[in-house]
Amino acid sequence: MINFIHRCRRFHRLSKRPLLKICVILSNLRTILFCVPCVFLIAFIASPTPAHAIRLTNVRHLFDLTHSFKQPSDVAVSKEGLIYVVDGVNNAVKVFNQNGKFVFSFGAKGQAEGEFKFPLGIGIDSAGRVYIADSGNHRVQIFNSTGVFLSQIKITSKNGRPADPTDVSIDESAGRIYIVDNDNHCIHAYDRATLQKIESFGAPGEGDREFRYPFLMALDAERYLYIVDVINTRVQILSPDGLYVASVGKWGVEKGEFFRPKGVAIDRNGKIYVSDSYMGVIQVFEPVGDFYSAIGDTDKGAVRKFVTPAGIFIDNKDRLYVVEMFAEKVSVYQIEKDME
Amino acid sequence: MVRDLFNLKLMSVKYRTALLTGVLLIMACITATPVFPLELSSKRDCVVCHIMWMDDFRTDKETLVEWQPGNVLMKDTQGVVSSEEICYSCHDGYVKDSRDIVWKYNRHPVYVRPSKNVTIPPELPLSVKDELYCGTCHSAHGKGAAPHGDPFGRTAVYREVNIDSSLCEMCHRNEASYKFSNGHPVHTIAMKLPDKLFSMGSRKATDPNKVICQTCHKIHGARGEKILIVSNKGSELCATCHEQQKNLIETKHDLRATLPEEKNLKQQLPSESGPCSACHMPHNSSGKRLWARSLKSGNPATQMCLTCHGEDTTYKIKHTGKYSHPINIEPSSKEKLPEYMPLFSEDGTKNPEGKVQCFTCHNVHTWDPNFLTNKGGKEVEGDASNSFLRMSNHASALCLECHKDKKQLITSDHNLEVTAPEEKNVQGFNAPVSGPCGVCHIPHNAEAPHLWSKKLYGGNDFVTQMCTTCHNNKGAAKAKLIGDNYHPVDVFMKKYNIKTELPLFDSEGNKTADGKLVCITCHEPHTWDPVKPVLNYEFKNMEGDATNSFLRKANFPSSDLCKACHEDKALVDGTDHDLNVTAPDAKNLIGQPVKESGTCGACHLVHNAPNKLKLWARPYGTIAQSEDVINSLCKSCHSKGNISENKIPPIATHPEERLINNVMRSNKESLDYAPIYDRRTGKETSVGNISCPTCHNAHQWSPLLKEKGNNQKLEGNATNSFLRNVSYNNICIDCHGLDALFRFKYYHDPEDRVEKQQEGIRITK
Repeated sequence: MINFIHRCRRFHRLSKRPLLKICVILSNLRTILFCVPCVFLIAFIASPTPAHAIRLTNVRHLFDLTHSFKQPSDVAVSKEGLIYVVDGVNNAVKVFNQNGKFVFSFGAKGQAEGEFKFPLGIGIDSAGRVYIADSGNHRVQIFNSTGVFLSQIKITSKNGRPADPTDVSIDESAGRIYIVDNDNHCIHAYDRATLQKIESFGAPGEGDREFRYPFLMALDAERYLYIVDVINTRVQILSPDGLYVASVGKWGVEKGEFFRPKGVAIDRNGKIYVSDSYMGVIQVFEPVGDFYSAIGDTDKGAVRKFVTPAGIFIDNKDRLYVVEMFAEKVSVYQIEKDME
Repeated sequence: MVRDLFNLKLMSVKYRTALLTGVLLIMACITATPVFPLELSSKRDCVVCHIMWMDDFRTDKETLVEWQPGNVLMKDTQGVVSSEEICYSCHDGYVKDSRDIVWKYNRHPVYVRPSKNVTIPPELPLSVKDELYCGTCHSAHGKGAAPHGDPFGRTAVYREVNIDSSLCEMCHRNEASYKFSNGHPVHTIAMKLPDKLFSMGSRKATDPNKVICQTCHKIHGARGEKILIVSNKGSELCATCHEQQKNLIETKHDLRATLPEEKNLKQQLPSESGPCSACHMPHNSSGKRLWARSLKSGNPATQMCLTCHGEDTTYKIKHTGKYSHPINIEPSSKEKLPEYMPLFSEDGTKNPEGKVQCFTCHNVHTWDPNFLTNKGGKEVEGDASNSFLRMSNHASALCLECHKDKKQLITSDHNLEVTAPEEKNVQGFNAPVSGPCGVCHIPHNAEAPHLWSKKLYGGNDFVTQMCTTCHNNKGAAKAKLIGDNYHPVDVFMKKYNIKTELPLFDSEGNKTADGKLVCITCHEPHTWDPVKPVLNYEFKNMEGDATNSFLRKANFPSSDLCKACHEDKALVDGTDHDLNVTAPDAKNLIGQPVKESGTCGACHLVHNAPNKLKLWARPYGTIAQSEDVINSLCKSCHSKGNISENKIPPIATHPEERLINNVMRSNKESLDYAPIYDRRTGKETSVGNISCPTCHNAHQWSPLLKEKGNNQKLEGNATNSFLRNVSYNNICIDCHGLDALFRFKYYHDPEDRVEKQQEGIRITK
């Protein structure tokens, strides 16, 4: 019932979007129809065996990237296929080719141009420019594809608390750079050409366009912004105009729910992949926000468990890159067909 | 109806079946439902950490993580809430980036059982496995905070207050009681802690200079082993505060190079412990100074050194040797030593009133006190300028800080830096390298007692051997030999019943009251002039005289030195036999006037005497063939052409065929002493003839007055005139009876002399 109440609340929030509302109703009905017989089934079986099967999206493990990482946090792949891993505690960005072979790295600890202080997030534009959220230095640094420093955006905060940029996304059509300010619970938009701030939106809170420790984010093909709102245990979807659209997921430990959502990625079909670092899972949601599946473990036929998954990325070859932070590796998978 | 319902016999099969099904369903539901410790009351903000309080676990739905029982509000258990995964889920950067601090580097051990060395108080819980875990120290609801709080109100969510590492000390009680566990002091302020320490990660205490656990240790983000703020394998941490001691690195006292296989009390090799901890352990050391090796009883300021350098060790390193500078003694100088030469109490602490220990002279952490970059090296032989000395001993400056009384050696011919710069000690160092002290004395591994640093020479007593090391015909002082005829040495004064204020010595050169007379009884080899220090030393090999020459006492104008033993002979001063009175220009056989030779030296040469008899310093006078040789001494002066030619007795012989014995008058202490001398050798005997000194004591003017002369030439009479005794009790009366009283005065008068006739007595006119 609690689950149901939460769903109703979300339905209420989605009331401005009729299509999504219908989806939620259907989803809740399906839950009711499914759950009632299960109560009786559990009573007779008297065992903790799961009552629900979770749809699994199977992935095939390709390889792991390991290169003396120290708690890496995010990953992105350029159009040229280079894999950039933010190796934050080593204050470096390490670059690999599509076969997982190390190519080069750049960055060192410090405050000068090209140096980092525990960077967290990464974004890459179509020109191959690499944007690094240099959190400890309160800035975003921009490099060319070979790691040569180009410029930087020093983030200023509006309430006096030092900025804490944790991720960056580039909306090339709008000429905007979106930067997550984790400690200030907001999003900054900068002009891509002038690197001047356009606006900031968001505030601390639980409402729409409010955040509690936003962390990583992703931009879909239609320029919708998906922001992982960690303590609110949701992914907020903002329109290209910065307006609230929807939230994905909610608080909980069941499917479609989050405890520590960290990373988000959008596949070519608009499905939303969200990593949960505590639960060690990656869940897949329909573009409308409904739970679709969990990344599965082919061998076990169960939900695949990752070690503190954080930043995730899906490239144009349907490869899923998962930063397993505490395991200090990036695991690379080929997304395959789903199974029930 | 109710009763009927329970009466199964009365019920129809239909009702019974329905009831049974209902009961089974109820029972099945009860059995299938997990036992949850809490009602559905968890708040979301609590569940941010307390995930297992989440209501989802109270349903039958599949969850993406399993519910773990036994972790909800159960005392002394580790719940999921305190698991590392929960901590990391916020501290991975999305709320606070603690990746670098907590997980990149070393941290306090968790998920292990506490060691036996710590005591976990009940306030700090262990896990169900009795292991330490995050929640042992941390709790979001704890009452602890950072030492000074935090302007943002953020704390390290300590379970208990942690002021000046008080939280650490709740378990690490031994380390907190450092005095009892021989550990590094904590909660003390001994110096200004360097800023560098804090930039390395040290936590400031309420007083920034107070040492606390977190001064050296960092619970999370420790770069070093044992959760030290930085690695201390090269003693980098120790050296941050103990900067001067850092000079030890790469010296011989860096055991990584010199004793790489020797383990400390923790069984660590020097390569593991680092150069400091090879000898010092910050916790549970063997004693004072955090000593990391077994320490024998005795003063720690010396015993620490002897751990390796003691004679009983097998290390192939420097030992102190059989003859080494004494320790645990009062300093030689009465003056206060400079601060850089500390003295030590019995417990090894510095004390200006303490005693000399190894550390008084040595700073074991610095090879070269003047050039800190000079590390010496494993194979380098040290010298007086380095060798871990507290100050360079160039020119023996270090030695002289204590041995101030030896300082005058520098301005004397015994400063071999000047007089014999090529002369080497047993270590092979010449005087300019070893210093003026070191060329004769070395503090360790000396050749002989008194730290003698040269090969002994000759076969006489030990002290003479020391002197003849140089003063031999091939030695550095070959120009200053003592010749064949010299004052007796290596003799017990007791044998001659001589008491003296001069020092006497045993066979090892130690002063002793009943010892022997040796060279240094009369000489103080470190002081050229016993009275006035030499200020403008222009040497070399300056010729000495009776006032200097390394004599312990000046022997002119008063014969004080000789008098110290020959008190009765010193009465010659000021008499007619003091040539300073009667013949100041007269020279002895080696060309010295009395001013140079001294009163005694005018007639006796203690070294290089040409004549053996009485070490006579003057040419023997001519005597008759039948005359006693002893008379030739008197006739050196009392003869024609010599300084006392006006004092020549016309006759002074006793009939030679009358052999006389003085058995009754041979006691030198007796008033009637009348020596008889062997005619040929001049030595005292008991049967012989009357000679000059039989009646005359050349050193005392009057037998009745044991006093010096008055520096005036006097004409004598029968009561003085250097006579041994008054006439009524002289040896004459033994043969001549009381007549001798009258005859005596005619002894030197040929006119009145009564000679024995063949038939009887004949009075010579």
